[in-house]
Amino acid sequence: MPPRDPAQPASRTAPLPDEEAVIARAASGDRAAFTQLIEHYQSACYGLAWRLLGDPDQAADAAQDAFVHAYDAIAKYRGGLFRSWLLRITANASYDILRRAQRKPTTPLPDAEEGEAELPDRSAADPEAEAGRSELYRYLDAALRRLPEDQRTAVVLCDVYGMDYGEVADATESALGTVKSRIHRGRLRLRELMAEHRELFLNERRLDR
Amino acid sequence: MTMQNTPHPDDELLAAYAGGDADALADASLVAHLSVCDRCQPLVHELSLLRGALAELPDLIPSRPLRLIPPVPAPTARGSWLRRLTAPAMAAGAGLVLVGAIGIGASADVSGLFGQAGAAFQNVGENLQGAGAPEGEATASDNAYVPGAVKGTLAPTSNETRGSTDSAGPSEPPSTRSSGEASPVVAPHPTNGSSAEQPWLTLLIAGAGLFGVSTALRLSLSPRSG
Repeated sequence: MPPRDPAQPASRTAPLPDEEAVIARAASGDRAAFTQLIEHYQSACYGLAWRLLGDPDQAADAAQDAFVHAYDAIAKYRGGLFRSWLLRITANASYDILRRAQRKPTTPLPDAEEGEAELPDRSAADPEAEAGRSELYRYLDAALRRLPEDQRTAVVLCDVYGMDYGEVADATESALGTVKSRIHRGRLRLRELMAEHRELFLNERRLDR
Repeated sequence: MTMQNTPHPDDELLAAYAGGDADALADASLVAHLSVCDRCQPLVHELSLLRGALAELPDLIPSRPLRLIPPVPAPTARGSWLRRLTAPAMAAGAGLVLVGAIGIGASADVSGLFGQAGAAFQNVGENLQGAGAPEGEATASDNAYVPGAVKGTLAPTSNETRGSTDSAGPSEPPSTRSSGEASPVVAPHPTNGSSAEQPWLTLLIAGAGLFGVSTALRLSLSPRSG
């Protein structure tokens, strides 16, 4: 079967209704406009940093570093999805922290139960489906944390946050071929780690249809 | 349906296909294999679903309130290094201006009070010089200055006394002499005074420049309010 395009999940932060105007004001030095943008996307940035770093404090630090970089760079922002732009900056800030920590590439993150991140409140139109999704997300995040660091970084950036190979290579300062291999091996390893909970995402698909 | 005799593609290639990798999608033999292999097709399907679930992972609420915007560069912080940088320069500039002004004033006073004495002192110096100089030049000096009386006899202290007391006497200021009589090696009196002021004037100008530059630097670099 043909692989489907990555979904645009509803649970993720959608663009602001007047985002272009807010960006333009922020780019011209309006601090209130910049704050509005960052406040809107802070969960997206924190989520990415947490999934890359696995530590709440480090994730908060990385997100804040990213906001500073974004503030410095917003005057040079040249269109495109603001969320993607901000996430690329967050990925770089997170990777800087990872590199500074000099973790071994194969060190898995601590157990998911420690420092578990809080999901945003969402209106539960279908409580059963909502509970199933929450469980699936929890297991997925736990499985991601068990991947070797290089594979986790690549899979998170590509499959969770929709970056292409080139963007992942830039963020991780790695060769394109290396990145591809990490992503593909990471997917296979993740499938093994999710084997016990396969029904959750198979059921999720059925619930979606 | 099953392809017992055909080797399966590498699993990484299947994972690439599941993720929509352009090269894998364009791989005709892989596509052909997937259409008939009941081992690889479900694997690709499962990987695709897994990838779809990953793409839906929600954003996460920060564990603590985040600082959303860098703090405004604190005026005090920036002002303090500006002050540290420019204050000594401004003070030094002002000091030089003051010293220069005082120096000019003082040298003007000296010129006024002791102008005659200064000239006489210079005359004496010239005469002393003349005494040790070759005959021709000594004659020229003798013509220009008070002849005989002080020649070779005055120490600077006595010269000073003489200059101050006999200012209206025979030691008429060289400036009053005709230019034809003046020795080229002796500066006329007023010129003598301004050359005394010159270092002070330089000091004053340098001080004013230093003060001006450091003030301009502080004004141009200090953060604007609002």
